[in-house]
Amino acid sequence: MSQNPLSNTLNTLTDEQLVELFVYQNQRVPAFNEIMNRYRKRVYYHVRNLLQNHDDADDAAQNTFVKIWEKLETFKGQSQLYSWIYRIATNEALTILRKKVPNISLDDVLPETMGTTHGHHETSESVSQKLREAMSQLPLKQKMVFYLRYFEDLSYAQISEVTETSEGALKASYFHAVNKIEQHIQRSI
Amino acid sequence: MKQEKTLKQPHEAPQGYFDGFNERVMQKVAHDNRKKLHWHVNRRFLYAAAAILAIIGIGLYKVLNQSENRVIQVVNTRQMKTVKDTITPEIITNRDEKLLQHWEEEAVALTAVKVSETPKNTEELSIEEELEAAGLIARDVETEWLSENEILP
Repeated sequence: MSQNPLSNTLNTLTDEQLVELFVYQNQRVPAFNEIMNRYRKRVYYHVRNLLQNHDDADDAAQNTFVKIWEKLETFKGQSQLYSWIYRIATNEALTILRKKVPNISLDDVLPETMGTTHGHHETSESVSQKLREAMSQLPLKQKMVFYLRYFEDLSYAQISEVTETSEGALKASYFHAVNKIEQHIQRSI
Repeated sequence: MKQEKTLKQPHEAPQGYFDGFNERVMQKVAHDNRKKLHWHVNRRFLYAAAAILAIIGIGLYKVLNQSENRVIQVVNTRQMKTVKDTITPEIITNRDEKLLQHWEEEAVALTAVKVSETPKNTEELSIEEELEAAGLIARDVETEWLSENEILP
């Protein structure tokens, strides 16, 4: 990949340009690698936030990029690439969730049994641990909105593209999520 | 600021997780492509096999159907033969005699009915006419004509 003359300049291209480049067979792999470099962490943390454990998040993240590889040619550019990728990632996470908890929806809270975490990566007394605990008790939709708004710094308009929900509903979801998290942290202190 | 940075990721990925991420995804893509290719090739074979099976099935059905009809024909023929064999000449003779007798009786009865139904013209006819009908005397047509036209008394 590094032998490709375009590879050094790929990181200067916009998402739209990468998508255009992907159409050409000889540029497909480098363009896709660049897209993965840009979005792999965001996709992983997004699905990890929904799925609560690394193994499922790994599956969902990989499946997301496999789907992107398969469908990128049909991407019309009607929405931003990142929102399209987030939508695929969300759907992949839900697919994995539904294998374990059939009929689960975004309004449901993830069962506690699914929130298994790898202890050696966490510091149990940290603020982030308390936040994680609080977030784990949120319904999936509130959790996703809170994550995208708070951790990914997306605007409501951008989140609206990802979740295909109105901005008003997103603001309400975020407000409820913040309230619940605050209450949880206050109780734990 | 430090706390904010800590908060920036609620979860942590295992160390080095993202290093080989692209390669793992590309391997999975290649694996999926191979699977799809296999399925694509296998699908052609499956369609061909299904078509051959269908043709064989139709052929077998037709052959079996024909042979079944043939069996029925043979069975019918054999049954007929068996029936013919079981009827003895005596039975046939007896039956024919009885039939002949019956027909004769019927014919006699019918003749009798016809005779009884025919009008008895003989009584109404005059002696001359009877004789004439019998061909014993010839009718004098000229004399009749003349007398009818009042030429002769």
